[in-house]
Amino acid sequence: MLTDRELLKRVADGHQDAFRDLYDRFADRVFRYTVLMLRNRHLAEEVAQETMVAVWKSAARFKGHSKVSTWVLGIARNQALRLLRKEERGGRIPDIPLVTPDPSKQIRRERLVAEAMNELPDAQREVVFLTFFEGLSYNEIAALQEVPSGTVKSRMFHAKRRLAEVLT
Amino acid sequence: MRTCDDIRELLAWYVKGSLANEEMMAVSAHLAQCAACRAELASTVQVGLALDGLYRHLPASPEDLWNQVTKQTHGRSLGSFHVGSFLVGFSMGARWKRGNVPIQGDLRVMGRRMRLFDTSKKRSQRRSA
Repeated sequence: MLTDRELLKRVADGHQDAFRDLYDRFADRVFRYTVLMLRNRHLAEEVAQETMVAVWKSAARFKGHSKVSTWVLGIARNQALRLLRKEERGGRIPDIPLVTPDPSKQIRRERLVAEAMNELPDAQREVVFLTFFEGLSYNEIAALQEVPSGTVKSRMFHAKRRLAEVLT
Repeated sequence: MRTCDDIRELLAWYVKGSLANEEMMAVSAHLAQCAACRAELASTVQVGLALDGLYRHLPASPEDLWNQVTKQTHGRSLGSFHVGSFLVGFSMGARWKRGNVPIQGDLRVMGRRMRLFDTSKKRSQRRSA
């Protein structure tokens, strides 16, 4: 199986089958990340679409300074922030929780964490997502959020304390 | 010398294994002799487990998203046909993109797709030659 970098190289060379494979690896991750950031599935779908199109168009510009996943998520983040600024100017406010707990299927602990995640400030929720779901280091998150690594650690500290509180 | 506060703010990344080697070793060494930080580690692991469960409930990308993407990257589909089964099959499709009609043919074996031909590539290769 090709690595992400090898796959992206083939995408840069115009191979559509490689793009499909790259899409399969990243589409869900990008969509979940943008749902988390925008809290609106319609806007998240729009951003995920723009992100994957941007990946196809700019694959040749990937310099290899980061992991491919970090690069893709960075594109998604920029697209989401751009859309968020536009939507806020237009007065549209994101309108759904990150996840809608289903009491019949989810155990109590997951439901409590879902509710606590919904209530976290956006920047803290993003740090939790990128750390626990995407496995990014604090330095990679700092680069994505364009803040010092100490800020990322502080955001995680406060978010983790809140999440741990609801579990005790 | 790292303090307990220094160590505790790294525990989320320690649990996920995304610290640099030197930091991983420093945190491990500290945990070996600090019961309070081990308790904090246990709390972090609990949070991580609960989040793992939550992640399974986050929505997957919409099924139509790929079609929306390829309308912009590969052009609009004019039609396609598929023969065979999941084990072995052949599919062929044509698209409309910027006045051209590239045609692609794929062989599918056990769900994996292999491109047999793509007329858009021949055109672009001729252009670059």
